[in-house]
Amino acid sequence: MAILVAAASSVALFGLAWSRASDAVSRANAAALRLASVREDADEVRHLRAREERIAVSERPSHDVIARVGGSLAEVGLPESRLKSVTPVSDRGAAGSGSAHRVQSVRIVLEPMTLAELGPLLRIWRREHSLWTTSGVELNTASRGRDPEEAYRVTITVSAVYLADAGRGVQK
Amino acid sequence: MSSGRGLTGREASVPPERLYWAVLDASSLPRQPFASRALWNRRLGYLFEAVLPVPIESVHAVFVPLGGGTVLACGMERASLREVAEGAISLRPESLPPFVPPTADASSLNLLTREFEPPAIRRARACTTLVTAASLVLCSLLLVVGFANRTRAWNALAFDAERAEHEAYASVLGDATGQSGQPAPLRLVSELRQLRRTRAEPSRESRPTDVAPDLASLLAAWPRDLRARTETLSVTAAGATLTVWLPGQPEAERLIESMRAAEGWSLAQPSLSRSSEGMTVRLQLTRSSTMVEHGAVP
Repeated sequence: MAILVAAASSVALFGLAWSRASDAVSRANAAALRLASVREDADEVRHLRAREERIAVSERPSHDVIARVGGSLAEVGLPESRLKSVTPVSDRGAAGSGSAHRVQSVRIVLEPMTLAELGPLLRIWRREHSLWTTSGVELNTASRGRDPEEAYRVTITVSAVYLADAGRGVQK
Repeated sequence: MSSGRGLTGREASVPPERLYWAVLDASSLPRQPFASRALWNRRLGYLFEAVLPVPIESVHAVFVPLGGGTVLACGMERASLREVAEGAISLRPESLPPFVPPTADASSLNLLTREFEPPAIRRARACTTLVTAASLVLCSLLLVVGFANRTRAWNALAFDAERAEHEAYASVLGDATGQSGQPAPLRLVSELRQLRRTRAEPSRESRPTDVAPDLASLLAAWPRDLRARTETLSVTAAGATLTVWLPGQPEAERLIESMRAAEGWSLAQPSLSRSSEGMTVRLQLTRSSTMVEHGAVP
């Protein structure tokens, strides 16, 4: 009888210890797997964050473009007063991507600008604001003079692709 | 005398004439796998009682299976047994009666069992039982302690991994909960999905045409030292249009030839208009199919 009680107690203790150890192993394995997955995702997030945004999350407001143009003008060494207007032009579904993307276009008017000033400005714009593609450039003489270096009224159309479902939030 | 287990005491024997004997047919008794030995002995006792001249209660009986469902029963009156067993550690018949099959062994019959078990043997058995039980418990405890240590180590591993996981979340998401109140795993997945969608290059069809390189290629083709005034210059995805004032025909032809040679462009028929001050040339260029986008800008 004593052996039976001892055996039963031993089995019970052993079972309890085994169960706890088994739980601990499962927990440790699950935690290790989760950690590996989270580290992988975190590395990818860091890597993607370091890359330039090519598609906007949502439609960008005009003041975003104004700030970008102001920054680029300052970088070229031109006064912000050269920026005359920023006007939204169109907002349409992107071709060939179903309903996934939309393209918004904004018209920027700069005046007066010479060709020598326009070149560096476009170069900086392309380098630093790759989200906004220069989709149109129009130069009109600001006056009727004969000076080849005369200033132009420059109308630049920039376009950005953004996610069409931005308003619906991110789905899991 | 002494027993083989170090017990001191007398190993007694009795003549078979002082004992009650019977070969019982136990095949009719119900066989229950988990029935106690006491119950089995009681049932055999009832069978034995049928051939006893005295009540079974006054007889101490032991039973030895003979095979084929038969059992050898051997009994002795309790009062006599007490006298004979005094100081003995075992009590066996000197020999077996002749009707007992030869397969039976007289040495396997010990009448000092159950309530007649000698105290020394009872103590020895209790001691063995205790040592066995204690050994069993000790082994179990050792195993349990081993498992507990392992469990602690695995829990520590899990804890470290969970802490590292929280640190990994914090390193990319900042604070633990965030303003949205969403759990960190959901926020990370959400951010990753969004980054994958916004950092990918848009498809060729959906990506707006970058006209800055086109403008650069046009201006690169512009003739040097040409006296001219560009009144309008428009570059779009569809093509380019120029309206240029020039002082005379030779300058106009030079510009037209240069634009015709511009890489990546096809020049449509130019439009010229004369005025008293010079000529105004209107040029329309379309992209040729072989045009390659390049990185230079004016």
